[in-house]
Amino acid sequence: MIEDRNTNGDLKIYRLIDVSIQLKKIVLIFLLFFTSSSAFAQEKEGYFGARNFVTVESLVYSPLIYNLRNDSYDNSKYDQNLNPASDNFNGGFRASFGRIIERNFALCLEAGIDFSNIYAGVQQSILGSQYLDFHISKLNIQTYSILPKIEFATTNSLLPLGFSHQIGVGFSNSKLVNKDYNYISGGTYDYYGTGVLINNEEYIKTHLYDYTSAKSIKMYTFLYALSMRVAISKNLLFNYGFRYTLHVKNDKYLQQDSPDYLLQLTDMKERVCKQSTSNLITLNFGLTYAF
Amino acid sequence: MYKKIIGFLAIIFSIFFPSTIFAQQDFNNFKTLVSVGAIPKDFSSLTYMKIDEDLKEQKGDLSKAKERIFLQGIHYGIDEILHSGMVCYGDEVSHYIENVIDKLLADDPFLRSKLRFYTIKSTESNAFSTDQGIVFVTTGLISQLTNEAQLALVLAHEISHYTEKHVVASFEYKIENRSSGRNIRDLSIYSKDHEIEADVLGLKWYHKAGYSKDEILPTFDVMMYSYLPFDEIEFPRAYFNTENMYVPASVFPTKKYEIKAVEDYDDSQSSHPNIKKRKEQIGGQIGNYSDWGSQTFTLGQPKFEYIRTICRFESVRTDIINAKYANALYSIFMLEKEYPNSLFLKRMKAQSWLGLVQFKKIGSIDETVDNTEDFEGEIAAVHYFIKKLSKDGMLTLALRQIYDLKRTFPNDIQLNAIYDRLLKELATTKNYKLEMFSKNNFHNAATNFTETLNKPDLVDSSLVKKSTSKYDKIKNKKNSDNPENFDSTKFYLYGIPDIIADTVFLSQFKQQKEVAELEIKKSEELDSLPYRERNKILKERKLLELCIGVEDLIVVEPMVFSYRNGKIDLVKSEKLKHDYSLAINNSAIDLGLTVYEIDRDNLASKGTEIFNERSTLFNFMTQLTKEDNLTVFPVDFESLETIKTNYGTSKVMFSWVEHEYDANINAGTVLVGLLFYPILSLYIPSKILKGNSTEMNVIILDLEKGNVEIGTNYYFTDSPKKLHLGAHMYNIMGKLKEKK
Repeated sequence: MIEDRNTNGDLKIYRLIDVSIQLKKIVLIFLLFFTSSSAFAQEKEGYFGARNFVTVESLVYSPLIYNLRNDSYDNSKYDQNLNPASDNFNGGFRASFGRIIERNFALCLEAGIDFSNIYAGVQQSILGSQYLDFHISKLNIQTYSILPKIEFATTNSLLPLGFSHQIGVGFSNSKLVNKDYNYISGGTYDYYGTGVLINNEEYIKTHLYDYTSAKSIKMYTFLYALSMRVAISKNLLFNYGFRYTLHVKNDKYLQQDSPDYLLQLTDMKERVCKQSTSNLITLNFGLTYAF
Repeated sequence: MYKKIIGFLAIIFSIFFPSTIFAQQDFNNFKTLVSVGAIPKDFSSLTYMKIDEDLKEQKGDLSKAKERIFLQGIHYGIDEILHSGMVCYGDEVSHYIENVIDKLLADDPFLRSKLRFYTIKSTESNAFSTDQGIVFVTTGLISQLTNEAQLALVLAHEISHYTEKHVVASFEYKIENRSSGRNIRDLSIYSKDHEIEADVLGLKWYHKAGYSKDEILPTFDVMMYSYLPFDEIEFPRAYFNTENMYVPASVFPTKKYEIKAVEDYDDSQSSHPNIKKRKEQIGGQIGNYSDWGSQTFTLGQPKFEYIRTICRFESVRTDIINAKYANALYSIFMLEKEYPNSLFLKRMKAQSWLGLVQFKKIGSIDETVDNTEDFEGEIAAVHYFIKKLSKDGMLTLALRQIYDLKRTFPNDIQLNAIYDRLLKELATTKNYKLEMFSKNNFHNAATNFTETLNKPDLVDSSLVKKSTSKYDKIKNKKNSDNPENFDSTKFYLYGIPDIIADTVFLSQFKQQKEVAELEIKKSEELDSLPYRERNKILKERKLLELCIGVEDLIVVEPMVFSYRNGKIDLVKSEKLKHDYSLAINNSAIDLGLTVYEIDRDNLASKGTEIFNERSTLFNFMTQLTKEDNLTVFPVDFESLETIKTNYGTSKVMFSWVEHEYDANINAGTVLVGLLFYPILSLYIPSKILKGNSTEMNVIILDLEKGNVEIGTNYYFTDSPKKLHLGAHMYNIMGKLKEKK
């Protein structure tokens, strides 16, 4: 979709079309999900006779590798400098609904939200005939995802109980959280490098990023998870496990960068993908209700 | 007057009291030994409780930690025997043993009060005592003995082991020398010292009880030859001959197989000294005592012989449980000399033949007979004969024997059931066709053959078709009624002329054959289907396999084996077993199934009847586990019928769970993973999460059909928690309740 930024009305229409396509996809996923469930309905078996289950879980991961490759700065200043601060833990939440097809096979639909950070670092932007240097703290990213997944065990497990594998493919949508980020402005240089320092903090503040919804970062999400559920009662189970998620850029939704903003969408997309990929493993734990 | 009445009643009571406890065995209708009376604490207490109780007492110089190890080992070991289904208490044999002990320890009531005696139904010839004061005696040992004095000597020896605490001492020795590099030879020497000591000390009680010194050395001879059958009688070559079946002597061995046992065998690796040494040691002690008694039987010879006969009958049953059919047939042959009309022996004979047929059909006949190099004594003739018998010969001889037995006892349900099972076996045997059998018996066929040789003109032209074509010639060669084709090595072809003329048999056989052919046809049709379709059908069948529509179920106590580092963690296993029992019960309650528990946990409250039922069911399971591919006929057919009637259901569930946690992380893979991070991030979590390995096995027996109706197992990577096991059991029981 090519964005026409000249009129606000057109932008809204494009946005609506985009949302409509996303919704259609979700509806299709649901339809496929329930059609296939009913096709196997005769063979349903489950934990104490339960046919469905709902899982709520939280995710924790440490972006160790991302930290090794990038410097991260806290969102606070110390003596006109950004505080270096490692980004130790990121996380998120997931909720999923599963329907048991066979004792060791289930179809699930998962929705989730992740909170992560990316490092934007030293930015150089061209403003007309001038360079603008600035140093920005870590940027908060919120990623929404939805994905249908299959859950299965290679043994005679009785889902959702016990060990299982999960494989899912879906979509995710990342956004930069709109907030006041701290930065250090290195000043503005003219094109010819005269070195005249012009403080342009107000400009950076208002032109950091285009926060409009159309500027979200859309990606394909691939999931493989190892899950273990331990029974607490006949309905409730404690689950824990490891998730491996891979985000792949969805260039179909490539949007033209706006020259008016300092942080470019294309660049942000690269950074979000890199961040998510370099943090392959995630620990998750939560509860499952079987019914 | 009052005293006189009391005295009179006492006499009457003393005369009739034994018979009120035990009904005298009628060997023509022999019933296997069952436990009698109140259940002893040894059987009803749980193992970990026994351990806790015993820990209160100090065992030798053992530290508490070692004592716990010792007690765990000893108690779980003993309880495994006590609950094996092969042990009886309060029965006639145990009672007799106790009477002999009463004589031996008449002067030591305190020691007597410490001891308990139980009988093990086993063909092994053995007796052993435990540190807890339990003395086990096998029926195999008693069946070998010649008199009561010999039994008394063996018992005195075992009591000495108890009084001298040899079991604890051996354990201490093992623990102390575990790290000193001493080998099994040293342990063996240590153990032999205990044996000699027990022989010497046992002699004291034996002498005091007034038994004859003449029976001391012969007792060691009994021990030496106890691996042989309880008697050594020549097996007649005509034993299997009947009016119609003639088994030529040529199919039996022509030589005698010598008995190899010698007194002075190499005992360097044995726990016991050889017989020669023991005889020498004890022989030297005999002279230390004067005023030897002359008693061989203090309780009477008839009583001893009666008890010994029970044990000999038991040996037949035990051999059948263990699929040692050749041994059983030889024992039956010996017992039939005294009890020719015993229905029990007839049933066991029929069952042995059925078992032989089943093992022969699957090519496992060697499991039922000894290896040729182990052939010894007269029994070797039976082993040799069975080993050499062809499949058709085995099937036909079995048919002959069982058919005749059924005809002798036409109303016996058990013999009829065995006969029906045999018919199925025959009908499902490929190429076993009645057409191949002669209408003449062996004698007539041989006579015809001889006459044909002498007078070729006498050949019945109706039997010998004029050979007009190659095919006619072939058919003619296959016609066993053709005198020219007579073959004495295929004696069985002439063994059932009356059976193939029996219209009832023919109709039954035809019916079974049709059923078998239909099954084959169905199987072939399934095989011819495309892979996906066949797979779908097989999957559906698997799903429906458990759906047998039961409302009532007998649940025999489950077993749990929890392993740690490759060894069973006995305490954890017992606790998990308790959880598993609860899980089964809860699942049944949730599903509205009525379950009747036959469980060790309930023995204290439910008593001896349950214990006996449990033993019967365990024995059947033992039979079934001898060969996975076979459904053998239950040795206790009548008792199983009684259980079925008592509970109003014929379905019995056995189940066991095996669990181990082993993450099994490979160091090499970890090293590779350190270089390639993604491998490690996948490998380690996967191994940790999948470390639990649990297998749940469920077998449903049908007592009515005498077979395994369902045998299924589930493998999963959950830990065996109560709820986890419960969930799986809920699923299984839910299906059992459903109808196909």
